[in-house]
Amino acid sequence: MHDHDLDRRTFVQRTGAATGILALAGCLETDDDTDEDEDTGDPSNGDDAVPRFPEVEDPPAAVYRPTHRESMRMLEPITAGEYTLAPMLSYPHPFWLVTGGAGEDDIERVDPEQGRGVHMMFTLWDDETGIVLPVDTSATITISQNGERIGSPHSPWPMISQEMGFHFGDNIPLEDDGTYTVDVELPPIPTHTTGDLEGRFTDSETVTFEFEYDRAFREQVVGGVEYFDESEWGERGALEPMDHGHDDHDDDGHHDHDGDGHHDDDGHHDDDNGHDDDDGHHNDDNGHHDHGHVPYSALPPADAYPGTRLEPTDEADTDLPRSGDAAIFATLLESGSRLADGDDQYLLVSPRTPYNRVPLADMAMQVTVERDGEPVGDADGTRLVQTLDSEYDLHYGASLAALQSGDAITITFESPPQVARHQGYETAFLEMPPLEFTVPEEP
Amino acid sequence: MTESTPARRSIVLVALCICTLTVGAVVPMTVGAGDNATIFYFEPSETEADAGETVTLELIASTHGDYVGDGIDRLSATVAYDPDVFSVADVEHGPMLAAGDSDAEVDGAVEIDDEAGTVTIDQERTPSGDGARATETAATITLEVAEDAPSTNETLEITDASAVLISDYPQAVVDREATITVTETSGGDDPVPGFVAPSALIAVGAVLVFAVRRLD
Amino acid sequence: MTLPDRSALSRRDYLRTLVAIGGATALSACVSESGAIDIPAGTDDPDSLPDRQHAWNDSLSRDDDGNVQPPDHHVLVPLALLDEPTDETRAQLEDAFRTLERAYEWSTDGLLFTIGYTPAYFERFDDALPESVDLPKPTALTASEDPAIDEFDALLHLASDHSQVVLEAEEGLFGDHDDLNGVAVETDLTGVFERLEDQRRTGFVGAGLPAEHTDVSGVPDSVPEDAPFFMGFRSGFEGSQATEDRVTIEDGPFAGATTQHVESLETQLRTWFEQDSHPMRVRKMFSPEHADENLVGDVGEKLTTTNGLTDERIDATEADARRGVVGHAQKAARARDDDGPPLLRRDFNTVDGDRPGVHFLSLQHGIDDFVRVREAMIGDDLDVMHANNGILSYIFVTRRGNFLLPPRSLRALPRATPQ
Repeated sequence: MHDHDLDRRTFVQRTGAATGILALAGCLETDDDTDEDEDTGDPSNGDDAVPRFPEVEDPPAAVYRPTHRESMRMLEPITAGEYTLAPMLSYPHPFWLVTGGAGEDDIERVDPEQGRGVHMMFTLWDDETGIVLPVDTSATITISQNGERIGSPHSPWPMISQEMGFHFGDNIPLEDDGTYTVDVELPPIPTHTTGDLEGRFTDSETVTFEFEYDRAFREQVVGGVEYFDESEWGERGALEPMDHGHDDHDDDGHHDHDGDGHHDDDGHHDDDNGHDDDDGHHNDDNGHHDHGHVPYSALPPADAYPGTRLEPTDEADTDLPRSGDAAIFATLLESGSRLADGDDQYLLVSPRTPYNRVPLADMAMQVTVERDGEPVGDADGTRLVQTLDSEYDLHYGASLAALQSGDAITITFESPPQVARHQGYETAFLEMPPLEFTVPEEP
Repeated sequence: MTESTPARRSIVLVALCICTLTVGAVVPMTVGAGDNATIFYFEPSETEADAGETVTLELIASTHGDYVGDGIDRLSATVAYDPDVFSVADVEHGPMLAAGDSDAEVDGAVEIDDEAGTVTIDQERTPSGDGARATETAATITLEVAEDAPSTNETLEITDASAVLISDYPQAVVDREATITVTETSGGDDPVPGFVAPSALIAVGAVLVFAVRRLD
Repeated sequence: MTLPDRSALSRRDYLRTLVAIGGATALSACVSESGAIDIPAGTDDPDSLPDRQHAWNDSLSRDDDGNVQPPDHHVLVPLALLDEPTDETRAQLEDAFRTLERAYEWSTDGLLFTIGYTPAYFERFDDALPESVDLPKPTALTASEDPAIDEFDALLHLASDHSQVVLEAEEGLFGDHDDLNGVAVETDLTGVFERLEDQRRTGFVGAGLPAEHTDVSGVPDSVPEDAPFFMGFRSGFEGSQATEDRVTIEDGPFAGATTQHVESLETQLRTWFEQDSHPMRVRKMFSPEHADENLVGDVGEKLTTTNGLTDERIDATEADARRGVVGHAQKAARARDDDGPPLLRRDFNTVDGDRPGVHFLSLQHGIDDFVRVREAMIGDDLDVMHANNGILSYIFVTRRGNFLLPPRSLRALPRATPQ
């Protein structure tokens, strides 16, 4: 059995440390120069004399670094049936909903409707494989206080954030301080599953946890926020994944960065390869069995996949070709692959965030094949099926009749990932033009 | 140039040296930071005064409120000065916390520790309503420059500050210091020697508390 | 039962609350609030009334576009038989219903009512229901719902524009009230049925009524002022509703009957109104094209007599899903056939239990019609994220019940195989 007897004090201590880092790292640039700026001291200059409001102006249409790293209170992970769920709480803050189209107009910022409350999140994973379940489960949350239910039940949004990867979350308004009880109903997972995951997640489970909403909580989650230098706001790049629920021992060796969720380096990653080191992903460590360790939803690096890796037809200056800044990895598994039908080959397409390799869920895509300029197979294209595999994690796949080297494969994105976005992802993965790949010569 | 108090200086330096910004001033976060901030600064941020005269500065608080658009209903700030050069002549509460509601009042308290060289204001908005979102004077502080003050550049620092939203979430606080250039008027005494970090505990006798209620 | 604080509520809200509370005290409070209103009297000639219990449309008022308008106030009274049916209790029940019909005009100014019987009720008979009646036991229709099932015997649906009437009729049948609009109550249901108070359901429909309930936890201030339903849009368009003929069972011993499904659900209005934008709500409620073409208006006022679903928009459901969002009405309309929409909706809003919700009451020829529409609305076949799959992530089904509404001639404790 797995040991989740995480010591709550651990979190408190860690948070204390994080707050300390804030005092060191937190600072804001001003528009003003104390020594020289003539605006100084002139009240008529209004906001010019005031440090800039922390906000990224005109962010790039790509993954970018937000103004700050959020702080949260981690609760003990809870196991129910095949699922383990780690609840996390922060202060209410904005996020973005994708409104079902492509393009920047089809994303909508959602501000909290009231200041009192929490931003509630949970990461859900399969305890057996440690795979974070980036699935579209229609989980239902109900919240109560002293046995009285508060508000209506609701389904949290599937979300991606740079620090937390794929998770579920929403802002939850609360009125009074006190202890709240949360019931999370997890229905069977409808996503197509393969490998060791086939036939799993067929039961409904309910997970219950409690949390305190009080002054200490508010001070903790606000106090732990880490602002970055303004010069970094809006830079292309991503925050490093947060290392959730690390215990106090730094010698457990299942990852190679600091365990406090904040990093001494500035978390810049300039290419796809910058993160091929282990972020605590499944398969290669048992981190999730440690005290309360919450896995991060990182996909395996590109070179961990078998098959014939498709080459982007157009020269790409990144390791993987990008569409809407999503890194698209595509490989052709030979016939006989357990994922392929009959003698077909299996096209495995694995879209992920650049830098952190977070799976991009809830997309629709299809593929067309051309050989010598003539369509092969269904000219209208073959739909790729969103699939969760025990080995290759979330991907989109289809069985295809034998392809030949030199075949041109065009992947069309009918809809970008519909998951909600935290800051830094809301301008990326929206407009996603098709990508063309070529089946390479046999090696 | 006068020595600052070593204790205070070390706190500020920690913050300063981490903030390696490209341009502009460096602003330490004195308390926790949220996504949105209340900024405390002085107007004027640079001023001059002769020994034996008084100098008046406004302590401005500026906030855009939180994501919901609600403002703050509590704030506090501790301003530290060199007690060998300055003493507090007067503190008046300003209207910042009452902003946006003509019925709102500022209930405030002031604590002056002239021995330690600190003045602390503590204010509450009544009724809280939607809170204050404004850039306004939180307090007007008048300092008297000692008769025997030498020519010196003095800084007025905000050593501790807080702002609390009506949601009860604290807000990030950013603060900036002010500089007062003091000109000596009497004989050529030595510059004021650096003094030992003041302890609030030894200054109890000097504490003066008064409250001001602002009526609109 | 404690009465609500009159001064804290608008008149309409007060009356609505009284209906929800029910009972003699609520009735007298309601009467004193309403004062002497003139309720049209009923008829001594039962044959002048339609043979179908569900024949309401001719008696309902119509809006400016000609759509029938449901009555404002509704009560669903669950009933458990105290004894096995006998000819005596049948006669008692019929007398009681005729008392209602004498007391109130068959209209929204008077009273409209039906009584329906559950599959559990019919199980007591040796013979099964005839083939012409499709009335299975209700089941959960999605993997994520776990509804309570109505297993009592019968459900009385009382509806009127006057809260006083629904309260008074209920009290006349089950309580001490012995005068209904000037008609003496000689026979009530005492001894035949027990009223199951804990499963009693109430509700309301009407422009502005939902917005009056922002005091209820879970009803945000942002509910549109004019919306007749909690989700913020009109519904029940003539062109989107089955006709009464269509839902009527024509053959067999229950000719003139219909089936009724009551799905009680809670709604998540906070995220719906506070997080989703109006265009997003239109996309999710109707179709993406409704939003792109601005077909709906604030609360559906631009839609006149249909929900604007052309064959093209219905056919586009699958493709819209793959593009990211699919509409609730669009999906459900896939279940239309040559005879048009299969369901006649008579759903209404509720704040039962101080939570916003809907009692989705629909009439259809057979329960399989309901299941077919509901499955089309669930859209398991569609490639779309749950949160963008119509309104699925905003509704939480708590209860389901299937009922047979026999023709009036058989409404009093029918046998499974009437002669």
